[in-house]
Amino acid sequence: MKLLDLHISGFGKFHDRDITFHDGINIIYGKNEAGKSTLHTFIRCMLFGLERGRGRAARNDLFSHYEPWDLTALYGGRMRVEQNGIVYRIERNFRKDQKSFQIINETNGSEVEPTKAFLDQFLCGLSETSYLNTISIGQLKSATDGGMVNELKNYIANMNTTGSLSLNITRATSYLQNRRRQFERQLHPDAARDYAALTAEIQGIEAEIADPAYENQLLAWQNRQNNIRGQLAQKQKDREELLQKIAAQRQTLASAQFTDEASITSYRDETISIYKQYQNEKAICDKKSHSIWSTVFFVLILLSGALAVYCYTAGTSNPLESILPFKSIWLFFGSLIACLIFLYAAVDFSKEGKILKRSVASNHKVLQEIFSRHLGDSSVTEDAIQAFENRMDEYQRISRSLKDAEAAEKSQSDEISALQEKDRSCDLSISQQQKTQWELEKKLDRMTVCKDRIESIKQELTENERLREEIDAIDLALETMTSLSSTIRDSFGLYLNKAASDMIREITGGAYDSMSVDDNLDIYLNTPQKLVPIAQLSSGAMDQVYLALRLSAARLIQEGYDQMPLIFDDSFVQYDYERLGSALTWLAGAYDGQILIFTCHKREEQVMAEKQIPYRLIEI
Amino acid sequence: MKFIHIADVHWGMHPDNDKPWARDRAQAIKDTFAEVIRQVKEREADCLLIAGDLFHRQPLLRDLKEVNYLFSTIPATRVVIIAGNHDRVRINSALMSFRWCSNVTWLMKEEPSVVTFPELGLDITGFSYHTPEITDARLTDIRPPAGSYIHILLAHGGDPKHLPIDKNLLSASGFSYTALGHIHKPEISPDKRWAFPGSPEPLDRTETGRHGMIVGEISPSTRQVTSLEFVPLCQAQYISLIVRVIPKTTNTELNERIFNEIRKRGVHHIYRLRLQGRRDPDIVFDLDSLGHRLQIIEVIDETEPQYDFSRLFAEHPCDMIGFYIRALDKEDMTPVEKKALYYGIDALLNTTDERSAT
Repeated sequence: MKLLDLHISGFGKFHDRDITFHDGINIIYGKNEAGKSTLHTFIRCMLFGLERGRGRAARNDLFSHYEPWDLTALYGGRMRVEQNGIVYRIERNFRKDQKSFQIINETNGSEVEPTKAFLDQFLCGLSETSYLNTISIGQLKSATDGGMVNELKNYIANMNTTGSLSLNITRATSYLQNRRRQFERQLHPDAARDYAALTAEIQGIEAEIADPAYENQLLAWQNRQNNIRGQLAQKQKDREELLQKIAAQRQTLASAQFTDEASITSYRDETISIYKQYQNEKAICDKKSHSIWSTVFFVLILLSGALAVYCYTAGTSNPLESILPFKSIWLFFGSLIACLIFLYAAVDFSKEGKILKRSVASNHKVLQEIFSRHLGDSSVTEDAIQAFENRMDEYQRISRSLKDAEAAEKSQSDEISALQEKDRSCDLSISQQQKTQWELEKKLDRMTVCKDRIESIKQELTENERLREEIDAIDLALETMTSLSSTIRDSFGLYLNKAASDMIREITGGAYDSMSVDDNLDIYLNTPQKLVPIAQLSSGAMDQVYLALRLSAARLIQEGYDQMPLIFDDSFVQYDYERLGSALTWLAGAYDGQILIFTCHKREEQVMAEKQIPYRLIEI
Repeated sequence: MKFIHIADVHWGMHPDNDKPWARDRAQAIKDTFAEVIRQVKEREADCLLIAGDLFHRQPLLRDLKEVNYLFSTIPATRVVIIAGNHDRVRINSALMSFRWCSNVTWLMKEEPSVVTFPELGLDITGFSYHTPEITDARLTDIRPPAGSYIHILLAHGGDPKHLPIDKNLLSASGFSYTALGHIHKPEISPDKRWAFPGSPEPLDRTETGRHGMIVGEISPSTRQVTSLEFVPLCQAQYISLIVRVIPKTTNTELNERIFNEIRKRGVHHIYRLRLQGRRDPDIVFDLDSLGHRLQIIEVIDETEPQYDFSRLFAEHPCDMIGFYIRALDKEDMTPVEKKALYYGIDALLNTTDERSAT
């Protein structure tokens, strides 16, 4: 593409201004404030349009900067260009309310539809951004600007990786990493671990409470205890009755002064023997023989006494002597002795009788007492003794029954204590069960807490999953950018390095023969002797590198298209005269398209004249 | 014979445990159950059927006492309960030794058992869970006992792991009514032969819609259900709102719109918001301030930044942006790829070098 001429209807300070360009190098000379930058911007706006900025873009708003102060004045103009032998006229009006854009093919006199495909071809494949970063070259940085090294480094780095120089891949990457960190901070880092721990705890508790020891047998034990208590109550009632009976029987026996069956038997036997004795003695006493015997004894005493007296009185004249073979004295003695014997016998007999009588009487009294006590009737009769025996039989029965009752009471009491023992063991089991249940409920409580906590952790996990997705997306973005940049570096970057190296050599007149960029994006210039880090270069040399890079990028981007004009806007102010000479010489040789050099110095013109480089001067 | 049928009360559950309104939800479950009991009294129901999951977990003694107290306030109503999968009968359960008041029958057995109420001419068949899952379709084999009583079946299940139920067979089972539980969303069969009352209170954010109990009546003569009605009781609902945004939508506008909408529907409900549409790439929606004033359980932001990728691609045909779009912008992108595309473009555009605009 070649610029032919332009007409500014109104743009910045220009009104109805016409400028014509020529082939080859055009030096557009103007003093400071003459409007070089305005002209430069006008060309750009004719090519790419001028939009009123919105939002973030407003701070860089060219629109208001170049809008004529007189709001009724025209804002726009036309520019004629030639491309591939065809002349086009671009007409634009930038006024917001009457905005227009036309491209007219002057060669065949028709209007061209500004489609994207046409514009791509028309603008030689450049976007506005790439235009700004390649062929439109502003004032190169001054030597005092310490940021130049970084600027240049960044420029190369970005050119290397993004192709388009406006995109700062490093910053985009760190921007993304920053966002990634923000998401990471929102993650619940312990959620998964807590979840696992709680799950394990729940499983532990579940396993624990599944133990048969926690089986709820409370009801069974309570039923058993109730059953035992029922039995116990019955038994105790029975025992109470039994005890009353025993007490009554004991009372009966005690009131009869019996202690046990043996005492009854002995009492009874004794009484019976007394009775028998009494009977016998009474029978003896009652017999007649006793009085007969007394009479006999009395008679015998009398007879023997009488005989003795007779014998004594009769003395020797005792007639009886005759009949007696012995002397009567003997008879006397004999009868006296007999009398005495009889007397003794009689006395003895009578004494015996008295004793017997006394015995009978005492026995009778004893029996009377016994009978009156046991039968309530003191008469000593055969019936009474019979009744007594019956009564004693009864006592014996009572005594036996008491013994049985006592045995029964003992066994009942044993049973009761056995039941009480069981009852106590039930109590124990029940309290044990209650304790177990209490422990169980504690564990269940804990499990509830764990499960509730797990529910919230599940939410956290879901949230984590969501955040992870964001982080994954950022990772994918980073990954894509990295792999893209290496692809770009591999193709575009390598070529750029090579092209830039060629240019460096030419621009610097062979002082540096190539340029290389390492993996850390540090730039080195190679002399035949050594690698020079870019920071060690002079500012002018840096400018040269910068220029070389831009031109090689421009060449690269426009490959396959017609070439756009190169536009320098006060680019060479930092160049010394010699360097300016070599740069311009090189430029004229290296770039066969149109070159516009805006300058406020006469140096460019002088150099051109000196070097005999053809140029046209346009003064504004 | 009037009856009230509920299920899945989940007494003791703490829904939305990590949210500020967690206590209210836990209390609402208990309050609404008490409301059911009040309704039983008011409607003079003969029978209260609880088809499982009365408790959220194995009930503790104190839970049983609380619930038993409520049952003791309706002595004229027969309460019949079965255990569901959540409160299934375990050998260590306090349930095993608990003495219910006389009007309560818990059909504890794992096998179907029948409780008969001659005074109502009613028998109820049911069984309790003893295992976490029942995978056999056991209902197909259960038949009502012989006799001219009204037969009701109580069952808990309805998914493949919990008593799979063939609803078509229920109508032909011979029971006048099958009182089901386990599914938390209410459902009444068209022929009134069975119903899921759902949970009286919604229990998590997915349980949208109304919740309550079933009130029905069975004619003793025909033994047919004469009326069957869902009665909403829940204190709050989970409501999902889909909010559409456009690139012009701002944060303030969105907050206002949502606030007004929620105020219209009731601030006592709990809301899930789903933002959809295309937003201005510069705006990130922030609804935190609404979250302080309203019960918003979740905001799902599905909005996508409004990038004109074809325009961007045209502007950046051979630089990083262009390459980037070409690398990721495809048909049927996964959500992650889509997000990666947005993140990358956002980063590239936001870090555009200062120089580019000069």
